[in-house]
Amino acid sequence: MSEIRCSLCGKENPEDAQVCQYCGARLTPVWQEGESAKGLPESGSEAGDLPDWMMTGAGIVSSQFANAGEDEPIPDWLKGLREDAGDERFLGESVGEQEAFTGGDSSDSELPEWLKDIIPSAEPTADISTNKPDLGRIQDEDPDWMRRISDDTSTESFVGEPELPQWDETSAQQSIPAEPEAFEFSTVDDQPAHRSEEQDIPAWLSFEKEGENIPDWLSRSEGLFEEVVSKQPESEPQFPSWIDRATEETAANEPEPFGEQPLDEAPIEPLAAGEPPLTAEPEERPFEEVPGVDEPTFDLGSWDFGAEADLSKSEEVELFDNDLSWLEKIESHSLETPADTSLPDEKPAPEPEGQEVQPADQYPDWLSQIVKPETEEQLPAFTSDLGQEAISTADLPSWLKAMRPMEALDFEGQADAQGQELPEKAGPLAGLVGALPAEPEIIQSAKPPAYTLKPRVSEMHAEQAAMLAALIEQEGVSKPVPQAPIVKTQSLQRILIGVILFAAILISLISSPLVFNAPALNSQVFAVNQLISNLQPGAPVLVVVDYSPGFSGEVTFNLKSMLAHVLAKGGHLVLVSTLPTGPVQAEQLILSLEPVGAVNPAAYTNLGFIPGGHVGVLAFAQDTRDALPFDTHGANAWDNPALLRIHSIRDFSLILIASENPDTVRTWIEQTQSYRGDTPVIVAASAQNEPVIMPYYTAYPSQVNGLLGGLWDSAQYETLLGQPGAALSFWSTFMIALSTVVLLIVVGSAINAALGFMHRTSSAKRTEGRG
Amino acid sequence: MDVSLLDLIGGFLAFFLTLFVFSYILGDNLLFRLAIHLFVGVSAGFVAAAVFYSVIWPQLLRPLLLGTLEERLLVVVPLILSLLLLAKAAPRLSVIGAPVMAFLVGVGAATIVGGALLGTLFPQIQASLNLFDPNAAGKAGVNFGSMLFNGGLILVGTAVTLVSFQFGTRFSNNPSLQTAWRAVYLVGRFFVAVTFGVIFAGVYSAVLTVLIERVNLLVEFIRSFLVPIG
Amino acid sequence: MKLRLRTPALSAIAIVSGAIVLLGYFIRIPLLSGLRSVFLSWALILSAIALVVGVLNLFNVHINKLKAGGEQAFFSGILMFSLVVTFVVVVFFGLTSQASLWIFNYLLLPVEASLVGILAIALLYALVRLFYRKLSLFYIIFVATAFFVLAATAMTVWFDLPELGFLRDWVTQTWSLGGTRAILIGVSLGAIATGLRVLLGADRPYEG
Repeated sequence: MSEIRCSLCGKENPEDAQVCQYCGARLTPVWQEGESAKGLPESGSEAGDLPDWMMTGAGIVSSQFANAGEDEPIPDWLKGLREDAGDERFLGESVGEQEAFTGGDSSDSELPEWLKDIIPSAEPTADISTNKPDLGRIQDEDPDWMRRISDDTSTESFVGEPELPQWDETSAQQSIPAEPEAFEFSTVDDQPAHRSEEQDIPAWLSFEKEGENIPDWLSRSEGLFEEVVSKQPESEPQFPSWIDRATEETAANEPEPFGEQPLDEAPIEPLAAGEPPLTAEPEERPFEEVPGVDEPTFDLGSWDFGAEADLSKSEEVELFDNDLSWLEKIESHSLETPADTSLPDEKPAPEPEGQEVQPADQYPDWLSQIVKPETEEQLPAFTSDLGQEAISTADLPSWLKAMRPMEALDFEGQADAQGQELPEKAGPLAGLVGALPAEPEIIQSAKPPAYTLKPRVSEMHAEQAAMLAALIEQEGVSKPVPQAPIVKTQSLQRILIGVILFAAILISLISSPLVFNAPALNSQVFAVNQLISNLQPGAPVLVVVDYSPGFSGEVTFNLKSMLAHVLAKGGHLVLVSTLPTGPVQAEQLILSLEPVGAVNPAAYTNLGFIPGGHVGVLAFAQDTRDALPFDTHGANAWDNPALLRIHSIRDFSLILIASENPDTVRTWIEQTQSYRGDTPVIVAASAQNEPVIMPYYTAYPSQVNGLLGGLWDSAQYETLLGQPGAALSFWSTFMIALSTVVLLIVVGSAINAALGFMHRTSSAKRTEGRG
Repeated sequence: MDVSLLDLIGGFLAFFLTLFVFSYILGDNLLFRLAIHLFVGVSAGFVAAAVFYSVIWPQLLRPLLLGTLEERLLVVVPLILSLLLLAKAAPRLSVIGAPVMAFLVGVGAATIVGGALLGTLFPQIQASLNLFDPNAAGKAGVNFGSMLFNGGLILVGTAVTLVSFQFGTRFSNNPSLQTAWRAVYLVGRFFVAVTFGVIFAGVYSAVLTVLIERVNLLVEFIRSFLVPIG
Repeated sequence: MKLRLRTPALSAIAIVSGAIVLLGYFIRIPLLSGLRSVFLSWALILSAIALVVGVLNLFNVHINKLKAGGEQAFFSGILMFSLVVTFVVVVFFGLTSQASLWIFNYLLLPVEASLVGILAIALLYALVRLFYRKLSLFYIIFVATAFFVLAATAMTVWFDLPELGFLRDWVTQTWSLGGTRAILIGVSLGAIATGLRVLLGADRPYEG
């Protein structure tokens, strides 16, 4: 042959090519790379039609068969299986699996010697790896797969041959050398697929990984098998006899079965890149869905068993006599699987140890077709034998069904093709015939991708959504009723402050325990004194009485001293007010000057009330006579000789503004700014508006020329004048009351700070408690 | 009626009205409300009477009734305007008082603008500019160094306080400028806090003085009764 | 439609009258000054009438309350009675007569002065109550300054510490002066802005 057909892609490659030029798959068999890779091409001649699992079951990678069977066309479904991504795994898995299956199986008519020794003495030996009934029971109850193959083919098949003891005997000799191979494949632990399935391995099988936990019987059996292997010809690696027998039916001239390759001459090379992983991991899809079938990993024990067997035959017998009681449980479990059909005319297919025998009903019928004669002469016979019943029950003949991919097969179709219903193996419907499988295999051929239902949202959106959810949730939560304000505590504090303050003032007023000196004089007091002192006799002085009655107790202290000073200088007072009560207040002020009632009515003029605020002040400043032509008595105010020269506000010698309201003072300053000229302005202010007037006083040029603010300045001014008045009489009481206020501020602030701290702490604790 | 008796009655009224108002320390009560309503009524009566005595009679009724023809003609317009304005007291006729209100508002606004501009804004800005004028220092009687320091302090306080009033307007997105703006705002708030603290101290001094004067009135009233008995 | 015609007319009245008065601050023209004086005299009279309108409105409100009855009717009756009596007495006896002085001294002054007096207790309570909450830096500076001024005033007298008095004056007349001047300027700017809006017709408070 000049070209080699790739087993993966089916394309032809040069003969000397090691790998496929198209898909990169290995073209040359692994074994041929060794020196003793003899016999493989011959064995491969029949393997060209074998399914992968059967090829690999002989311990050979599928490429070997592809190389050997280059003349045989590869079915499309087979290529499809290989091309399928999942089939690589399937192939690799099936390799080890079928290897285990075939490793212990044999179509040879001769039982191996070790098996000959074992069987008579220990029937459960067959159950070690097969999980099947003992051999005697198998004699009566054929496995389903064997029976099914026989039904489908009606021709000679390796399972249909009655020489079961022969193959059993020969397989005992040929399969044992294959055990190490199977071990090599099955113990590729570094392969991820295998590792992924390790967790599914039963605990009792996990000793391989645990090492020290290897049961004694296994360690002894390993020695046994090593001894058996040593007895076999090393140059002749044995393949299962049943494979040889199957090949004999199709190619009788097969010179050497590939299983004859000796162990040492058939090194298992590591997998090349691109090759499907060769693992002993059980193929999931065809087997796991079949009820009553044990896990394929069950064979691991057998592989190990064969690989490391160094026990002597006697030891093995002893092993089984002493330490195989646990297998009875497995046996009894296997016996629960009903053998729905029985073929009394067929020989039971005893399952050699060290292999995993799958029930026949697990395998589709096309598997049995593969081992049929591949000659065209045999195929019509095969189909003709199958024909009548198959066509009557199905549209497709079984051989055509066999061409279908594995995924297309299901057990229902298989049952239909066989014209019989399969009983349910497990579950509540166990034993019922014709029950539809819960999950047909085809459904699981393609696992649907898992789509997450979680919406793709950003963190911000997630936070906002959580916040919205929290808000919605809080809407439904009844809010605690806010606590009623602590009226008692607040009232108590207010009452205490009032009582203490009143007590201090009363004690000071009644007993006058302390007498304090008047404060030191300041510049603004000197300025006021100087301005008033400079008044000429008869000088008109405008007095704006714009303080409210409530502050008369403070402002009048300033104003009285200044008015008394002005009157003492001979000035003429012109009283005016922008407050409705101003005229009355002005009158009361004049009458209250010391000595009471001593003021000459001709020394002052009460012009009364100026309405309009800014407008009234401006009107008065611009045209004084027209704004207020009459005094409060209804007389013409400007007929007074002292006021004859007054036409505008600038004609006054002094403007004296008395108010506690900063806005009122500002109004007078602003509206008279353009009209008062050089007329000085003195403000008799309260302590509360003194800071606001200060910018006018400190301005350069000054808008306010003199300022007396509060009791502090009044006391100074009285002291300066040397005429003690109301300000100095209240000075000591004011100092005592102010000192009391300072102490109350300190104590009250400390108490409230403590109360507030305790309240915040308790609130925080309540909040944490709710949280 | 004897004047001394009126003073005695007045004294009692003042005494009890003072106590009625002080009773508010214990909480709102009927006596406090009674005093307040009495106070409002008296104040309103004084307002009406003061307006009558100061404006209506001398500037409207007297020229109209006793004035010359010229005075009567001059008073016609304000009299009509006053009548229109009085219509504001009646809801149905309040519309006809709107032109008078417009006139009052226009004149009042112009007065406020002119007074603020010429009476406060310009003089105070000028005063700020003159903080470092040696003549001002000489007038105030302080040395030049002290004037420089205090003047600078006042100028800085004025500037940063004014700036802090406009803090709500973000004029720049530059982080460094905003940081500086924030610092200026904080300094301005500091000056405002100091100013309000000084004003509060002044207010409290004022009301404390008034309280002392009120308590003194009560003491003197009681003492005026005890001395004759004693 | 009626409102549309009336609003420009009202605005025109306000703008024209305001412009004349405002120009009088800067331009000294005899005709303008005369017209300005007339406007100011009219405004002075009308302002007084506006006060009367306010009193009439107050009277009308309490008449309605008196008609409604209840506890408030009693106090409304007190208010109306005092208002009428005061007005009659003051008008009949004179603004500065002894009767008016009596009403002022024994009815008006005690109540108003007492209201101001209890502010000493209310303000002190409010000041110490501030510490119940967490104080911000602004409040801390405010309270500290107020406390310093009051305490310095008292301690200066108690312990004869003139230096402390000078320090207090420095704070009240220098440190606070800048802020106070800024407040005055700010108030003036606000008043100017408000007045100009009225003069430009942007604000029309007379439409109501």
